[in-house]
Amino acid sequence: MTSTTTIWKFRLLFGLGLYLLICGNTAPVFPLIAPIPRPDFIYCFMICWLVRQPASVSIVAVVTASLTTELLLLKTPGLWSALLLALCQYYFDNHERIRAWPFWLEWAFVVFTFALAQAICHLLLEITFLPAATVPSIFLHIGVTAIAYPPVVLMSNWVFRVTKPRSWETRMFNPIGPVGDTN
Amino acid sequence: MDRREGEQNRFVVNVRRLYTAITICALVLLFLVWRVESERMERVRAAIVDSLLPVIEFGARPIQYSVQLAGNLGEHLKQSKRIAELEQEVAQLEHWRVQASLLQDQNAELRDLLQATSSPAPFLVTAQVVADTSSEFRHSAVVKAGSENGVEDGWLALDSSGLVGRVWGVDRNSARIILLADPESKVPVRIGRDSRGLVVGDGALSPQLAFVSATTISPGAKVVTSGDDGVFVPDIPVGEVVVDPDQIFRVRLLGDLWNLDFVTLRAPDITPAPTVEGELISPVPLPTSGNSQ
Repeated sequence: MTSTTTIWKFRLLFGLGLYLLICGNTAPVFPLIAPIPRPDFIYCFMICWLVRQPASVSIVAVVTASLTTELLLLKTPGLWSALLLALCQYYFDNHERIRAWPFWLEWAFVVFTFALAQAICHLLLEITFLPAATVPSIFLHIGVTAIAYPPVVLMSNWVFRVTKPRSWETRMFNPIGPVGDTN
Repeated sequence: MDRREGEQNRFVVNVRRLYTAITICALVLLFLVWRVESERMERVRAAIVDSLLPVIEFGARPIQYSVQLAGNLGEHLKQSKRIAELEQEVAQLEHWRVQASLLQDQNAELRDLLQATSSPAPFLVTAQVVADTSSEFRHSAVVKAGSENGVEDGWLALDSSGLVGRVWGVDRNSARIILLADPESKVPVRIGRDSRGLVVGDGALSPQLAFVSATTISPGAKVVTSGDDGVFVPDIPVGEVVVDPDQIFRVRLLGDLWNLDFVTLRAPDITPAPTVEGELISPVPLPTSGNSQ
């Protein structure tokens, strides 16, 4: 009962966090034309939570947030959401392994998967003759997102108390257990 | 017992995977449908953004206020000096106000003498920028005025200094503005007195100047809309010519794209089609064979 309540509490917090990030991203307080693209805070936030509290990340929340962002930012919706969802599933399946890594390795891997998803997205946009960002701006976008990941992890820790659970807590936060754990 | 629980876990994980796979397929299908039916789907986008806007605005307001408050604290320190400057400016402007009033009266008298008719005032709507929807390669903003306020696609967006973009997608209470820096933005302009060209957005704050008719243009030349496309009203100030380090001509915009709070949306001046038959030059009738004999 307690674990279910905790999971739902974290699910609500995850949804609230995504909502605030979308609002913050679209609030007209920063220059409309900035020389550097903004980091993908939503990606950082999702992966941070997937590694630390995987049971609180629901597919519905991921799809809703990414589709809303795509619709607001004038992107052709569906492609980035699909890539993000596939990445989320990968992280969900491997969170036990990634959680055991030191932070610098986790950070490098998060940046690598983001760069890979961006490359696939760019390639598919080019194939379908849709407007795509230039390669230098993609590199900049990856760079600023890489810089944004550690602060997002820190903020998630301070504001939402999202930390890597200790071994005895793993079961409580992840009731379905690690993949392949059939015994 | 453990084995049974393990099987249950495996089942849940497999269901989640299946659910994810189906959702990914649906998203890819949405992407393809949007690509094929982009024109119709953009109307769907405008409707969704219109309905989302109050929710986004509600969440963005505290963030906006906090950032503004932080900025205001810094500004507050400079205020006393600024007030003194403004008082001086007001005193100077008062003189100009009287001059303008006299000239306005004189202008009205002269118009009466000439029996001149003035063109109707353009239809303007002032709207607040409520969402910044710029991404790494698109530059747009959403304003709080839509079809209910009379706004239509293709209207011009101006700030107090000059052109900033045009309306691209309207719904009931909101409209999206494509800014001049957006790669989709192309505006025909007049450079200086008689040279023509195209201001093409490329993501930079100062868009490029392309297809210039003159062989040489001097930096600092004024750039205004030419109205050649029939969409943009002629003679609206856009900016001035600058040369970037790569020797590419660009336009330093007069409109402040960095701090866009309010924009004025202006209906394009459309020249009405001639309605009286006599205004058209009809083709000369060919002589019939009977008359020629």
